[in-house]
Amino acid sequence: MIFEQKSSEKYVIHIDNFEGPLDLLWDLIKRSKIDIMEISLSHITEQYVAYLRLMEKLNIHVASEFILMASELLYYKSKAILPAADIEDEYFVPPLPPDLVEKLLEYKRFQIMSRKLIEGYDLQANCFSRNSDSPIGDDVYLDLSLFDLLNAFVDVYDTARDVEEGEIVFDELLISDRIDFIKVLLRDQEHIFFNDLFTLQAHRSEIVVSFLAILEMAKSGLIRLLQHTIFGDIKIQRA
Amino acid sequence: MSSDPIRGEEESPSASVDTPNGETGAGLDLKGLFEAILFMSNEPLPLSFFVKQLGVDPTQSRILLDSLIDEYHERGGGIKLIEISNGYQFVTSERYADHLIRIMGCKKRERLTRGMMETLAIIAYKQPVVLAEIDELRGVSSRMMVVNLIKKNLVKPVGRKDLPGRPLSYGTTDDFLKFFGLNKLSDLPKLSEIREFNLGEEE
Repeated sequence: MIFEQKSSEKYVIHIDNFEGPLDLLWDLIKRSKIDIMEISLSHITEQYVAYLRLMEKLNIHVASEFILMASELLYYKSKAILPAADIEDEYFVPPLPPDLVEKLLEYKRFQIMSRKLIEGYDLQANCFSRNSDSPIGDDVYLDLSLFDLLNAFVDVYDTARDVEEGEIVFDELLISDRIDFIKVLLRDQEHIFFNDLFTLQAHRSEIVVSFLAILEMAKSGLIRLLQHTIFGDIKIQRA
Repeated sequence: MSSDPIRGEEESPSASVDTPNGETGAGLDLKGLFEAILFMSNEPLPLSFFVKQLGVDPTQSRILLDSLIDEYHERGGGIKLIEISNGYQFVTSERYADHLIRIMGCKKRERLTRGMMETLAIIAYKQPVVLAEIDELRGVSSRMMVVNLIKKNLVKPVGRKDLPGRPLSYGTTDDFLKFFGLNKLSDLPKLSEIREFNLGEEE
């Protein structure tokens, strides 16, 4: 991709830390100095994609949401190219689709509101009270949803090591064995934590089997699953 | 001197409140008592605290507290009484912030990042709101932002939405009100006031 010089505007390498694709789009819109309702979809798409290509060139990783937005823009652009019966003016420049405009405006509203909130924050930060440190909230244990459980599982899974090449794992890991193991642990203690079930060097298969075991035990009503803080460790309790 | 708006006459702010010293209250200066209690408190005290603990009626309590606020405001000294986070609290005047930080070691709260502020603004205005809705509005995954906001005790889960997966919905905490100088949620600047924004206004 060759960088063109668009009229008098040079492409400056601007590594801004954009909060997301909407943030980036607003930046491009602002730079063009054209109103969001009138700006050319094609023009914005080009610039957006150019920015992503630049990031790629510089080996800077962008969040997947940026790529998703690029594909959406290109999709909108392709739709706009298809001839529509009622477009007579050959100089008609397709604007941004209304869905996208709506999303951008909504986002902008919250951007502005957050700046207003910061004003209040800065003001209040200059006023001190007796013992300004506030304690962290109580240890409240919440019931889990399946998704919370899956997230906790993924966290442990990611830190596990893969079976090394050449290592042949003979033992079959049975769910029933794991269930017995967990039952034994719970005989002595009223509760244990999900992360306690694994040694530091746990194989991925061990983790999967343990996870299936606690699901089975929860289903049979043998244990209760609770979570301390959001995205926190999972407590396994004797039912 | 405050007057009772209902009866339209001057009311001396005293009541029969038993004190540990055995004085029963006819001569007890309630306003002074309120002031002393507020001085000692670490947290904003709601109106209900005075009503419940001291048996003073809500209207009278409100009058006393408002008059205290006015007095301190007029005095224009180093401390003021403010209404914050659904309660009343003594705080230092912002004029002395730098000195207090230097001399008394008061810690100024660190600013939040832009991403956290955006996420927080969305939660503040749209509560109760689920993660998926936040992600949709910001256009990016906001899970880490929410986790950090929870760690700072600015947001908390407030229930579950009746959707597949029964996701948690989030709302703001009392600390959020405190840190942002708000008394109640309705004190938030109005979202509807943002009608047209001049793009040139921004940095």
